[in-house]
Amino acid sequence: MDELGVIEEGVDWRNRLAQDIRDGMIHDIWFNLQKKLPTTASTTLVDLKKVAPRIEERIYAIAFDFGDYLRRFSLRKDDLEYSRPIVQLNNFLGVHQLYQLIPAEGNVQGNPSSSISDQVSPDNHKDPSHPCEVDRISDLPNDLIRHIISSLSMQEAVCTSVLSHRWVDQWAFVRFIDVDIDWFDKDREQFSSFVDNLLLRRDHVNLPMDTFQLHSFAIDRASSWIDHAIKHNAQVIRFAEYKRWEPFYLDPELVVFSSQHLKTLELNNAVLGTIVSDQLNNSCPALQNLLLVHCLIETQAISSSSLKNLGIIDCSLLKDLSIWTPSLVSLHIEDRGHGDSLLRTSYQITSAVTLIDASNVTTMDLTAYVKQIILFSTYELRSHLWIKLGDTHCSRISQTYAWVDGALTINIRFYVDTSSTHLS
Amino acid sequence: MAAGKPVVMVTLVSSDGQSFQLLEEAALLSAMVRDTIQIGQGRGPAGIPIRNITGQTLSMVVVYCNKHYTAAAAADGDDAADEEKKVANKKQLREWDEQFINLEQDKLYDILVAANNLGIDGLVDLCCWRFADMMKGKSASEIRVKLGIRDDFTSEQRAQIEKDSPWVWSRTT
Repeated sequence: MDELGVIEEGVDWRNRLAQDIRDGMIHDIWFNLQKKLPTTASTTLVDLKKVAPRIEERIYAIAFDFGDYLRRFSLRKDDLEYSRPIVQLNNFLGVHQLYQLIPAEGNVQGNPSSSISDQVSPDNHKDPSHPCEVDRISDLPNDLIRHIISSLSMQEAVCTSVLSHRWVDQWAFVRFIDVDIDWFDKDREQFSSFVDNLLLRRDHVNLPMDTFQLHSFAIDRASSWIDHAIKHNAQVIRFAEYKRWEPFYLDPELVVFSSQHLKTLELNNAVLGTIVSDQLNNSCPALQNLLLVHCLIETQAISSSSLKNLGIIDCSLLKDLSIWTPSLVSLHIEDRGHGDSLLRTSYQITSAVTLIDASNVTTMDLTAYVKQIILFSTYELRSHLWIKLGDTHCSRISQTYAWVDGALTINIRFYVDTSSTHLS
Repeated sequence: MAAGKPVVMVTLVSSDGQSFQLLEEAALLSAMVRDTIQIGQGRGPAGIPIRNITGQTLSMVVVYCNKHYTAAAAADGDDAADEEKKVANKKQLREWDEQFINLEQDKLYDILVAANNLGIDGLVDLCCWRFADMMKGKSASEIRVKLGIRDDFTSEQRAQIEKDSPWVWSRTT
């Protein structure tokens, strides 16, 4: 244990912290979370009673004394209280208007509200393939129709469902799934029932999936959706949680990362816990690309033997992390220091990244840390970087490149100036 | 196109009796031709009969196969070539493809169906891309006009669809 975690008496402060204090903190956080989430009836979508204890548990684990525990909580609460409302009020108006538009489009062509139609018409004369008299496209076999739809964006693909009976379901069977809650004006109810329906329809025909891409917002069930993608042999999974909400908890009870096919996993604003990371390390033999952006990394080891490209961008490391990936070709650790969210400061911690076996690494991009070092005097997080090679400490990133050939150990130590954050 | 390799030609015969001769290697772009030759048929003077595909369509398919075979052979020839040249060649081929597929819809359907039956993946991709390109950025009613799709919904059914996915209508950007 380092010098920060030890109390003079030799007793860990955690042992002396009464459960009712912790419960009080959990309740506080829970109360604030409720305020932050738009007031819809959608309480079933996310269980805040589980989110709050996770936040508490995390802070409890990383705080080095009771004062720090309280400080991190107050940062956390500030973030919840003062951050802008997640959804603007006029969204309700937006949904309302949307419903009003429907009859206009349904009846006749030339929906006046559709800006697209205005833009496209002038181009038509350039198109040598003039309008078709006979409906031959609808006579094509299903796989060809789906092939055609696959070349459209997901939104355009969904829109083909209103063409005719023949087209109603076709879009749901494309191999590339990409659904974004922004298309629903962050209406979580609509979004989740849409995704549920989509996956249910696909389940009936047991269709394989190539790519599953989802931008969600405070929906626990998203873990099951990812699980669906994994079970249907998805090779690429990209998941992003809404950036103004809590990092998404990949629930090991709902999702199992075990796949012979998963090649690329990208997580944005999620928690990489121990169980999930163990599964990625041991049960995903095809995994080559792992990109973590704005994630909380709770695991202590990334040790997938197949992993080639690893990116850790703007993540908070809650524990020391060892990277033991013999096939690794490219490592990209970057911290652009988006200090706009207090979330990051409340999870700020001294942790080290240890890269074991860099024998195959050809690209190592640690650029942003350079920036952090340069900006040290003004940077609000007041963190800077020590890079350790063997027993030598260096503060200049330029020296890292010389180390890359051959198997060696590189330590990257994040050092947080705790005395100054303490005072603030 | 290694020197000394015997030149083998294959004849494809369309449903209306027209014959097309092409290099066997070019014809092998078609999975169907591949299968036929693999079981030891099709090399004779009678050629390979291609049912349901007319001479007019088949001639286009043959043009496509020849072009893509030539391009692939050229790329093989200079495998030491720099990455830049490869990218340029690829781009050139893509431009040729787009020009090639810029056809009337009737022909496009015929070629798509033919390519599908013959198992020429690249050509299927290209035709589907072309159709999708016609649909891009258009409203449902514009697509219907463009592709001749008949709107066979009753007003109740339409109302139901709109109710199920209302956002479909507003989000086309």
